[in-house]
Amino acid sequence: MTAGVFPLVRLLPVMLLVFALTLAATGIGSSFMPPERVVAALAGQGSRMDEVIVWTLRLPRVALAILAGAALALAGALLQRVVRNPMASPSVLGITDGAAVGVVLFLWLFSDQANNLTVSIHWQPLAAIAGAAVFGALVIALASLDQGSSKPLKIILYGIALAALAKAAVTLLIILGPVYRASQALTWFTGSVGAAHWQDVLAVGLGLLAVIPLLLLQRLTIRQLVLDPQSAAVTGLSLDRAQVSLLAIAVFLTAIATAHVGAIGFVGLVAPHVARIFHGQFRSGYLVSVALTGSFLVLAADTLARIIAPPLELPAGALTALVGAPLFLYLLVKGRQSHA
Amino acid sequence: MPDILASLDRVSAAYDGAPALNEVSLDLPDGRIIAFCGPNGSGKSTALKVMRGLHRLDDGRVEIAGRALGDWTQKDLARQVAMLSQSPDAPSDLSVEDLVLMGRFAHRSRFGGPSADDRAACDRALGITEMAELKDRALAQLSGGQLQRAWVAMTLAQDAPRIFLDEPTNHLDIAHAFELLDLVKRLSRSENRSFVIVLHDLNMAMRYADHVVLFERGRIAANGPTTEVLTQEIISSVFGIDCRILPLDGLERPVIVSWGKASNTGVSA
Repeated sequence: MTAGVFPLVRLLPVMLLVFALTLAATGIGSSFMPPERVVAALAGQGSRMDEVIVWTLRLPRVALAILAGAALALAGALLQRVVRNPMASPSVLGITDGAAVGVVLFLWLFSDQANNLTVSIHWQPLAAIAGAAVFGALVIALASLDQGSSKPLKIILYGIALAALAKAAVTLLIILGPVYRASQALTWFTGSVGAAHWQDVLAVGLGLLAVIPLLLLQRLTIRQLVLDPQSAAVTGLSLDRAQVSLLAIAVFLTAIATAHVGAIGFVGLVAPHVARIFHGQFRSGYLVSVALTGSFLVLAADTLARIIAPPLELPAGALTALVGAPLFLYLLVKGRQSHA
Repeated sequence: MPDILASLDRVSAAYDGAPALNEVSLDLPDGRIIAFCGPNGSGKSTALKVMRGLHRLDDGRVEIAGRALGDWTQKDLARQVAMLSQSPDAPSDLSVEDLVLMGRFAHRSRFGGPSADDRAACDRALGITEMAELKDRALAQLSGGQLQRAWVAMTLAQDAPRIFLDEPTNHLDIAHAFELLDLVKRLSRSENRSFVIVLHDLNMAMRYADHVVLFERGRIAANGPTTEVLTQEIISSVFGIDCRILPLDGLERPVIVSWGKASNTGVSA
């Protein structure tokens, strides 16, 4: 039995993986830098050129991938608990696409003929949050109207339908909207950390920081939600309040990440499952493991996106599945054998 | 401790759109084993859920331990009344120990791990239900009887003086069913806990209950001490069957024997 093992021991490997990948991702690019030069530049003891490349060009992108990955993965883990279904994730429930609707609407409404925004781009995250919130609220409203017995399954179906609706809306908006915005919207829609600035890193970082104390306070609630609704309620859980507040946190995390890196999919679905297998969903530190796994997946995807076909840079969102799916399938198959 | 465990005042409630309780008024004594009996769909399960705040009232008023149901906070109510629902569900990779610890939700502090009290209550619950040796098992690795005992342990760990059980013997073979109800009796006598149990088996109610409430089509057909409620006349009329109530040597309470509808067998009561 490993119940007594300090959670750090289980977190350490994935921490090291993220750290090693950070060094590699910062070193890889049009001018390759070996790890020792990366470390020197990070410590402020590298050459002037190295420091500019690391601090201005590469690190914001790496940091954004790490933070956005963590946010999306956490959102997925929370949603899986809220709807009591391991198939739930921000993209499956239509929240990511809801954020996309918000952003495309924003680009459409606030662009002028000269392809300039008439308001500050800093409002874009708010548009994403609004879109995500509307679609998140729709899923919950539909689910709460449904008093049937197969609710966890129904919520997934509502989400799939709403996600399809949002995708259709985005496509229509792109086609009907100003042509010059189409390519920008498309890149955003697939998800990319390519245009990262420290401002983006700061925004996502602050968003995550704001959520951490809330998650710590709701730690027991998040765990209690794995029980069937009646059993959870009789132990003293205020079910509606718990579901709404955690859903709100998941929507916020999805929106803040999606607003800055685009609609990167699959992370929210896969990272919680990977953490379940490597860490265990009932051990303390599970959410930390989820966040680190998400960071790893997005960072790995973005790094691959840069090196797969240089100088062409693919959107990271197109590659999260390329990294995540084989890992996911491998773990599922391996898990099946060990349980058999 | 107030003398009334729960009091229902002209309570009406619907189940799946159909009326399940029709202006039910009922006072339940505290410190007893109370059985809710009645035919399928008579409203006994709905009444239990209504009393625990799990089911919406269409009309009427419910008091638990002298306080209106709506005036309790979820956690305060959980510390007063624990309940094991009819088909509880938890992930199969959850360990018995972690499940039982979830029974402590209303007691645990927001910060840090389980307190000494939490640990002690879990250990006691695991001991009483004889699940201590299986506490590291995942729920998936338990037999049906063990799984039910794990849920009972979780309910007991809640340390509530009043416990509701909704058909707790449903998935148990007869030996495990007796075992569970013996445990209920022990806890009722030694720790003065109150129990309200939805029971299908009238003989189980006869043997273990101090007090029986007999439901019939959303109303109460009879309510009172067990031997006054479970009589040949009342059972025959509520269930539409014929029966005899026979004393057996060595048993404190008689047994109920039925042979179905009188008209089909030609035997008259």
